[in-house]
Amino acid sequence: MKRLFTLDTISKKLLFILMSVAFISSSIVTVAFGTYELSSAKGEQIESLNSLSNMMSPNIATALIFEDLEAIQELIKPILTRTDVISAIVTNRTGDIVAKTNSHMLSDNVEHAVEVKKQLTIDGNNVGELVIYANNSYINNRIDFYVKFIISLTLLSFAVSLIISLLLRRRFLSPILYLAQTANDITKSNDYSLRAEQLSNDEVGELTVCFNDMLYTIEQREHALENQVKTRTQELENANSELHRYAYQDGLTDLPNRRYFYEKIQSLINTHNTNFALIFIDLDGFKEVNDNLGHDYGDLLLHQVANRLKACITEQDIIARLGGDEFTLILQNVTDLERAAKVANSVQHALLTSIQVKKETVYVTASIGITLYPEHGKTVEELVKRADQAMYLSKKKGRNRYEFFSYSIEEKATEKRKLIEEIKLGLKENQFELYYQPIFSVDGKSITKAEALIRWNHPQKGLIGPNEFIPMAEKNGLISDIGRWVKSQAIQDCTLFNKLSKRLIQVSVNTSPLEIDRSGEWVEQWIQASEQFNLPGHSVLIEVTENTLMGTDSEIKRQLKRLSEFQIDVAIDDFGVGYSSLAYLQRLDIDILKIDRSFIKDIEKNDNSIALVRAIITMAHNLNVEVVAEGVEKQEQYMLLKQMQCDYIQGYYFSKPVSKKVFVSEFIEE
Amino acid sequence: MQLLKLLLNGLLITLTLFFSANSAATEKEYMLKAGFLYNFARFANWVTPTYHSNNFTLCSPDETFINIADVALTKRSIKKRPLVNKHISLNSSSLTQCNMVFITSKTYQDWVNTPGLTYQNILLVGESDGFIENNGHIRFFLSSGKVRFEISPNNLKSNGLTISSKVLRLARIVDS
Repeated sequence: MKRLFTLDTISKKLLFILMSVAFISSSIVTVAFGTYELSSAKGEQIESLNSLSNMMSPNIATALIFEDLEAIQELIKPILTRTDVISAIVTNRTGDIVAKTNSHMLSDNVEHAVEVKKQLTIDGNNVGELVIYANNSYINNRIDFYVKFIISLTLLSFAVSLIISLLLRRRFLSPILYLAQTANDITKSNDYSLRAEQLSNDEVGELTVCFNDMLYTIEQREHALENQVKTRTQELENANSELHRYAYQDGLTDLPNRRYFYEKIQSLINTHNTNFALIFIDLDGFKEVNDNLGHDYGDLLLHQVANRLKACITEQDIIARLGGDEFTLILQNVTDLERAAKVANSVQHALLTSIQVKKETVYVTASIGITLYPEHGKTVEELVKRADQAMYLSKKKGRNRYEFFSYSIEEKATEKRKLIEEIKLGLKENQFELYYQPIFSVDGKSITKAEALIRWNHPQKGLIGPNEFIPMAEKNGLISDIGRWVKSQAIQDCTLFNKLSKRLIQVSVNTSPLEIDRSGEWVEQWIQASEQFNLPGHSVLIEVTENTLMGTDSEIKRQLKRLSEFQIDVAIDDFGVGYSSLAYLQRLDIDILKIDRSFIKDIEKNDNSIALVRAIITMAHNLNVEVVAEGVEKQEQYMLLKQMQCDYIQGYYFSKPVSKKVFVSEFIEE
Repeated sequence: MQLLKLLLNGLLITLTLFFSANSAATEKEYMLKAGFLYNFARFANWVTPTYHSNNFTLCSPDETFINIADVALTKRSIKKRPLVNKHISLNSSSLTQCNMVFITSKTYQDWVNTPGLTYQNILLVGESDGFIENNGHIRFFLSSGKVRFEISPNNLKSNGLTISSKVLRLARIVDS
């Protein structure tokens, strides 16, 4: 209802204007007309009464002079037919009332409002007077009439105005409304081919023409945009499919890639009641091909391997390249290990024959790990990890074979991971300790050196020797941290020993080949630490293995020379079991040779061992290098070495490695 | 004898009183009728009026009436001419002086018995029954004790006279 009287459309506004004009104009006319009529009503009444009395007075005067009172009464009686007249009185010359007539209203004590007097004359002689009294009923009737008339007129004019307004509105607004409706239709349908018909030749007609021109422009633009969008959409679709290809396909082998592989496994896992086998393949010897023949050969090799692997699987199986030389197979609906093993065998056979890459003949084999879903894992991560573990087991077991995942593999891996974490924690919580094994002079009495040997005071396992954690530390990048700790601790201990013994006790420290870097940082660390603790010369003996020195030439020579400059001695540990190349003994600044314990172990029984040890001692002495014999456990061994003029003796025969405290108390403070 | 004398005196007194009272009533009536006659003259119209001595003359063969009229109608004028009352005899020469003639009941019989007189241009007023039938113009009669009159417009017209409709309206029209 409120919306009906809201001026929210141009149609309503125009109607409102037209009706307002009609109302105001009719109101003005009505008020003016009414005011005039009301003001003239009284004059008219008086004039009318005067006219009436003038008309009647001659007859009344005549009747008066003939004293015909009945006639006078008859004459004045019709005056009362006028509703406004309430009384008519005729008096004679002397003023006596000779005739009188009253309307019934007089009895109601109605005050007369109008009084009209007429002198009755005959030949200019006054014979009496006619007096007429009237009330306001004439004016009131006029007012009533005019009120009704005005209301009727107003209603009529309003109705006529409304009809005319509606007709005018329709006539004037129909082109605009039609234009608006067309615009609305276009907005709703987005059909810019629609046009508005020109209904008039006025401004609205011009507006329609402009509107149509605008629509034409928009339509043209839309067509152009549509074509552009189509082209772009096609480009995007192409790019999208290209991206999809890049995202899910390996560019080198055209096989599905890692992402596709992971999503596929996930979708298989999500499928209810499904079984499949996962085969991880890592090529053996691929790195050598890459290193020796170049990456282009490697890429071509991978391409050919991929083709051979494809031949090993059925259509429902999936092959993917995870990266590098790693391939994987998903064998769908495989529930037993035998079927998986069969495929693994066929993969091995497929790679047995040589592969021709350009002009080179290449042989590669495969290390294969196999897991089954759901037996070996419920998630993608578990399955992949365990297949990887099985594959590494194959590698470890000699390559070119396959292994099934077993939970023991995982347990070992878990233990390994746990050990790594514990080493880190041990370093943090200072659980490591250096034991010292004294190295005696050949006389068996004086101690001039001691080998620092690391031990781990494990909170649960107790004291652990280096063989149980050093290889793991070396494989997992922890050896440098351990080496740094050993270095620091050994120097501090050396300072202590020197201080307590008041003589030089050289501490020898084993150095992992992994600690020795080509840039020589390890050398600088030793030099820096020695200077920091103000160690006297020859306080430290660094033990390195033969293999460390084998691969290097000028660089290691420079490093050893620099150590020599700072009076830090270098020993070759486990001499005789490595890739023995005696040439480096001549080239490098080596201070001591430590003969490997395997030569000492049966020296008292084996003449060959005696000959070898003798030769080593003689050669070393000739090169001005001192010799330490390790692993001396028996007196016979000691006696033989003494006889062979070995410089230093180290072994259980004299002392096991002991804690720092024991070493100090037994060998320094004696 | 004395009683008879007494009775005769008594009868004489009674008759004297009766006649004197009757005489007073007649005078009053004639006074009123004189006024009516004056008014008839005012509203009557003479087609070809003739005025004797430039006067408007009211004639009557009844001298009593003329005497009363002289009293009632003094210094009056009709048609801007002085009103003169005149006692006349019923003959043609006397009538030529008259503009209006009133035949009283007393003179009515004489008037009836004097035929052959012409009343052209003379308003002829009477008060006796049969007056109109004898070509009179206006006749007084009494109605409810009031003096009323009847008019014969035809008789008026035949003698060259008309009278205002205002008077006609008050009168009883008696044309046959």
